[in-house]
Amino acid sequence: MNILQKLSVANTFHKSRRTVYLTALTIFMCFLMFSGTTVVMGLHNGLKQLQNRLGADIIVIPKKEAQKHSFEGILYSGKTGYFYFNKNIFNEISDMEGINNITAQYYLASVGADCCFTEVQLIGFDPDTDFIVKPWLQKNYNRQLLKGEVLSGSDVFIPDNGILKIYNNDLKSVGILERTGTGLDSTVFVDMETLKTLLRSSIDLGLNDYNVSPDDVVSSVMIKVKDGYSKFKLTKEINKRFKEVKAIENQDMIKGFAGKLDTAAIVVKIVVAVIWIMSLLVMHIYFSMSLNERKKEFAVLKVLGFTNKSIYAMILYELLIIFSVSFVLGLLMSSVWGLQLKTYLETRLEVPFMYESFSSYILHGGVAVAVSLLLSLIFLSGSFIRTVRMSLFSVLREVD
Amino acid sequence: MIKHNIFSIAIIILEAVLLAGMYTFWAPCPVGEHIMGCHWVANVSVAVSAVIIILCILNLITKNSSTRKGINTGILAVTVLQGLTPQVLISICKHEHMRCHVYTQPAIITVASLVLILIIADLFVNRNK
Repeated sequence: MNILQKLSVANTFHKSRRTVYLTALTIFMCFLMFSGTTVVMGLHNGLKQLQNRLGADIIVIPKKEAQKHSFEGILYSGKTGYFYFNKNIFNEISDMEGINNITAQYYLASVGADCCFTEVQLIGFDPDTDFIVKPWLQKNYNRQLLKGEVLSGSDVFIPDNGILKIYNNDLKSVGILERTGTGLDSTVFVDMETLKTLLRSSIDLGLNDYNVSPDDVVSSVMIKVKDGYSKFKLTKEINKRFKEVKAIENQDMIKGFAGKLDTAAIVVKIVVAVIWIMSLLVMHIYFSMSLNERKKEFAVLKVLGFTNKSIYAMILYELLIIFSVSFVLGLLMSSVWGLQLKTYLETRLEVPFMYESFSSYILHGGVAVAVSLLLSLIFLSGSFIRTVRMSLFSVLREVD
Repeated sequence: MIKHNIFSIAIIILEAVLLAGMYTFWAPCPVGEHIMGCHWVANVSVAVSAVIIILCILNLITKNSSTRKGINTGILAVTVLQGLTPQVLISICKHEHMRCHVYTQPAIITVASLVLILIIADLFVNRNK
C-alpha cells in the first residue's frame, strides 16, 4: 500500500462518525436503486409468466362473466368463482376451422376450512385434450391423474401429510405447479371424475347454487390457433356465431393487467428517481461540508509537498473504501429487505412480482447499485476538485 | 449528549415501534382454535424488543465506555437472535399471503437488520474510546 492509500485508510478510520454517516447514506441509495430495479423487473417477469401460463391463444367464457371480469379476478387476484355454459357450444367450436388444439375447463370454488387453508379455485381439466396444465408441471408427472389426486398451485397450503380436505373429501396433492405470481397460484387442478365428486359434495352441503353436471356444461374453452390462421378472425367468428359466450384473445385478456403493471412500474421509477436524486444532493451537501472542514488539512499536505493530483487520489481512495463497503452491505441488506417486502407489495398492490432466479435477482440489483455508485462518484468529484484547487495561501491565512 | 447517544436513541425508537406493531399493524393472525407458530414469534419478538430497549436505556445512563461496549455487544447478539426468530427458530405458516409473511416477518427482519447496522456503527465509532 502506498502512502496515499495508507493516508486514505487512516482518514477513513480516524473520522469514523463521518465515515458512518456517508456509508449509511450510500447504503440507503443502494437500497433505493436495488429495490426499484428488482421491483420493475419483477413486474415485467410476472406479466411474461402469466402470458406463458395462459397457454391458449383464445379463451371462451360465458358472456355475462366476461362483462363482470370474473375470469380476470380468478387469474390475477386469486378471487374464486364458478360459471358455466352449455357443452354443445364447446362441441360446435371444436368443429370450426383454424383450431390446432382445444380443451375445456370446469371451475368450482372451495370453502376455507382451516386457519391456513383459504379459499382455493378448483379447475377440472380433461387430461386427454389438455395443453395448459401439463407443460408447466414442476415435478415429474408421467401418468394420468387418478381420482382423488390434485395438482396444486404454488401458494396452496398443503399439510404435511399431503392431503387437502375440500367439501369433506380427502384429496392427495401429487404435484406443485411453478409459481406465476398471479391468482393461478391459488388454484388446484383436478380431473373431471374428481370434480364431479366435489361438485356432488358441494351440492349436498348446500354450498353450490348450480346443480349441473360436468357432462353437460363447461366453464371455459381454451383454444390454440393453427399457425398462419388469424386469431382475430377466429375470435370474431366465435363471437358472431355464439351469442351466449364471449371469445377473448390472450393479449386482450391481459391488456388491462399489463396496463396496471405499466402504471405501477412508472410510479416506482419516478419515486425511486426522485428520492435517489434528493439523497444524492444530501450526500453532496454533507460531503462538501466535510471537505470544507478539511481545507486546512489539504493546505498542510500541500506545504509538505503533496500535489493537487495526489490529494485528489487520496480523497478518491477514501470514497472508494466507503463505496465498496456500502456496495457489499447495501447489496446484502437490500436483497434481504427486498425479499421481505415482496409479499407485502404483492398483497397490497395486487400485482405479481416474479424473479427468474435468485442469482438473476442479485445480478440485476447489483448492476443497478454499481451504476448508482459510479454516478454518485462522478457527481461528488466536482466537490473535491473545487476544494483542493483552492489557493494554498488563502487557506493558510484563514488558519493564521 | 444526543451526538454521543444517537445510536441508542434510534434503536430505542425502532424497537418501540416494533413492539407496538406486534400488537397492532404488524400483528400475526389472532389466536383461534389453533395457536400457530407466528403467535410465538410475536411473543418472542416483543420480549427481545423489551430487553433491547432496557439495554439501550442502560447505555444512555452509563458513562463508562467499556461498559457501554459490553452492553452494545450484548445488544448485537440479542438482535441477531431477534432476526432469526421467524422461520429459522420458530416456523411460521406455509401460506405465503398470510399475515405472518406479509407483515410480521418483514417487520421483524427489517427492524432487526436496521438495529444491527446501528449497533455495528456505534461499536465502530466508539472503538477507541
